[in-house]
Amino acid sequence: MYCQISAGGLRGLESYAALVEVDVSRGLPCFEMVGLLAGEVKEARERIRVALKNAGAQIPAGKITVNISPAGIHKGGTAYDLPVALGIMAAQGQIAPRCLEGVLAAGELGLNAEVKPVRGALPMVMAAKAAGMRECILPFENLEEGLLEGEIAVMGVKTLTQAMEYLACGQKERQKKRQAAVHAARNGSAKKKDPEKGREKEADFGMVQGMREAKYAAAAAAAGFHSLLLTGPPGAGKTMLARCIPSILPPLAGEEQKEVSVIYSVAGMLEEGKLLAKRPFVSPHHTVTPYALAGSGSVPRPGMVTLAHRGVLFLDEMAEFKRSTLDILRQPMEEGRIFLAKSGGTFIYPARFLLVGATNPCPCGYYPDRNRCRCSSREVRRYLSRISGPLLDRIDLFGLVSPAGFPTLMEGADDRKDSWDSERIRAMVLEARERQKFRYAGTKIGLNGRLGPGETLRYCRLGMKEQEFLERLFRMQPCSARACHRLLRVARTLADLEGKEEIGCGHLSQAFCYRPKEEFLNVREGGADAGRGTD
Amino acid sequence: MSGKEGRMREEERIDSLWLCSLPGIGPASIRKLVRAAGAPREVRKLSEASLDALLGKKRAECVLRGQTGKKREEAARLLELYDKKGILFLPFWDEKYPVRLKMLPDAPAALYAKGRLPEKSAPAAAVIGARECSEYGRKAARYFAAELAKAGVIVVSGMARGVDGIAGWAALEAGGTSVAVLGCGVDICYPPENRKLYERLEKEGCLLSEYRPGTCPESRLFPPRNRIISGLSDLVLVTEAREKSGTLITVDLALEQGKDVFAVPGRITDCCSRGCNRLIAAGAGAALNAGQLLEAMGLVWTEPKSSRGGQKETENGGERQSLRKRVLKALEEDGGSLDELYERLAADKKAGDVSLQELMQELVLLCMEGTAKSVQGRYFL
Repeated sequence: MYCQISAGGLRGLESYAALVEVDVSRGLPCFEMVGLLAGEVKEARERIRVALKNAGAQIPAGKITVNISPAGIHKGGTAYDLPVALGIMAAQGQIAPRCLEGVLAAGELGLNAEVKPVRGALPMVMAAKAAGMRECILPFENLEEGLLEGEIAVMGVKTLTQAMEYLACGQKERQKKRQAAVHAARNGSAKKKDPEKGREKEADFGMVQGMREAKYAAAAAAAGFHSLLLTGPPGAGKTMLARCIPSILPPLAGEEQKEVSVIYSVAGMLEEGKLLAKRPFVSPHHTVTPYALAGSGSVPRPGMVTLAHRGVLFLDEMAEFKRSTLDILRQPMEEGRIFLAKSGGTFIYPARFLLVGATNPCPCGYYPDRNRCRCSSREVRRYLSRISGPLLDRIDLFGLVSPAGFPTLMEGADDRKDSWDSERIRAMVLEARERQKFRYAGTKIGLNGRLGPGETLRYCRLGMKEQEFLERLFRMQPCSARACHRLLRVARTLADLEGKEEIGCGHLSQAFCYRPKEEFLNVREGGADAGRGTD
Repeated sequence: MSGKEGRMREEERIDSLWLCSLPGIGPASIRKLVRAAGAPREVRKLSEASLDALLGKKRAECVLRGQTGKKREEAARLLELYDKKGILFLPFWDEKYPVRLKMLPDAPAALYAKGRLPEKSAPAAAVIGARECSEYGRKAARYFAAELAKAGVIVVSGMARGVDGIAGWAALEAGGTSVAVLGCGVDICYPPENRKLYERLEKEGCLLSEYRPGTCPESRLFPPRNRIISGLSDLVLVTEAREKSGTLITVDLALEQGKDVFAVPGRITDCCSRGCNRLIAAGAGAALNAGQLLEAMGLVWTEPKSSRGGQKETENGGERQSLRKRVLKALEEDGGSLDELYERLAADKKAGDVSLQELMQELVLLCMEGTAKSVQGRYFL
């Protein structure tokens, strides 16, 4: 007998409703699965056979054929276990086929017939909605995640038996069962979370004493979505400062929340049943490979750049990264997404992140303090030249972190917060964002950091006095057209931060203070050294 | 007549270059040979017996090999090439060879020069110091080199990274002239980041080297050139040196040659200045201003008018000026990063609060006027 049920299929970040067709006919007993399946899907046969037995159901002594369509798309993952098992039961007549109509199921089976959680539950539910399904059956652990979609009915099951019982019920019964499951899930997660809450304290700028220059740079970066590079000696607090940046970014809006949660769901990193409310903060170690950063696999899992979508990508010790790894960042920084051409097809993943880098100024870290640093200028240049020029060009703000003096450090005693804490900075950032929203209403720009060359001149208009001032600045330090636009963009954000509509000389000079430092600019001069060890 | 004389001189130069480029023959042997034979031309005619008596068996053979082989034609070709490249070949017995060097016991047998040779009688001072210098060392080098150059003193240095290069540049900027003694061939610019200075020195100053054109920079070549730096100068000024610094080699050589040595004093806590302070303790002159150095060379110094004078007139302009005064005061204490300066301003509670934004604006204005300077995100007066 033939029967069909919908299953959640995953392809990259997108999900689709796959159709599981099961046929049981007379013949030699065998169990065949087709439909371009990866190893873990084919292995499902054994899991399903034993799980069905342990759930008290009989495996029909006949020829079982399972096809998962569309048969032309590669299928991986373990989410097909549950729908195939349910399909077999229906084909055997243990469940009425009409009970499966409009139902999308996903879940991994254990040998004891337990239903285990799967990756990508949220996008699957969204796909079910798009395909016009009525309800979804998910593993109990994924229930809250599935509910985030909001509109479609979702049931969470702990075992295969539970799923079968649920399907046997009428509409009213089903609703009751769903409510009970939701209630149980919410109670459970509420209990689990409580002890954690006290432990996990969000990093706050109030904990960082001094460092006004870097803090203000961070505020500008958050307000205008400008990428930021912090330089400073070891131990000055670059990493600590960077960790505070998510706290001043405006919270994720509804749509953004879903978008980011889908990514984390597919990566299997979504915390139980919570939409991501905090912006992601991704901090790969400097030994990360280009593939891990971009996303890898024949159907690639989201890489670091995608996980940092709408959040902060923090590269600590940026000069220690491999050059080839850093160069991956160029496309995402320009376009806000990354193209991945893999054997499984071409994928476009979103990757609009705020890049925050931190680096020591030289191999020993203390340059230009000549009392401690004896690196020759060549060593300094060589160290920084590992960050390629094109990438540096895409960084708008260069902040210096200098170690706080003793009196400033001691202000932090007795839990007293620095007066520039996250709350205060966040208020500034939010206001600046409002201004930008108003200014760029009806355009695609949205934030100052995304202004293109033509747009920069249109939106960053200068008065006569300011233009003259800018000219004098350039006379002092000549720079390229790109650097000029960078200066204007940053000045625009700094003006927004102060709540000014006009860019003043003050903003220009502040932006000038945040320009790339000379040691970065000199990187490309000199080039090949003729001398051999004249030091 | 003049044509014939010219040809004679040309021949003599070829002979000189031939003699100076004989492999295995050092400056001391060359001088011995010329003294014995009277002229380089005569050296070619010296017999084996007299060569043996002069130099010993081994070196005599080197000369003999040169006498017979094609070395002379090679020298002629080389000289033509040098002329084309604008490189001047100055053997020890040439009249243009610097007089000061002639007196050295280990004077180089020949010099190769590019640019304009400095006047022989003009006073000269070496301004030298650490390659990895601090902002203070840089500033000192700039100040002393510029003031010396304005007074007509030739600034001699090594065109190295750090102090040397800065001194040469400042001297040219001040409208003076500068001589750089290289540790490689004069046709090679080392270090490459001093390319601009190299090009300017070619036109406005002079590049000297005892090594043949085309010689690549190598670490062993650099210390010997220091004797030329000190030898060319009447006075040696050290702006910044660590306790164990290569600069101190030059100082030792200068003392052996009987030159005056001055050092720029620094803070006792600065390890970049420790070598200088030690020199002063050991009896070197403390270079407090350019006047002292000029006096030591027997010149007169006209003190430049303080550039601060102009600002004082406008000092009745309210808040802006008072902020400027405070920023200048903070900068005077010591240069530093924005945060350090901000802390210094904030420590002075009586004077009221200053925002970071105001401080940034003021610093950029000061930089624009040239009163302050920003280096790698740090600000200095």
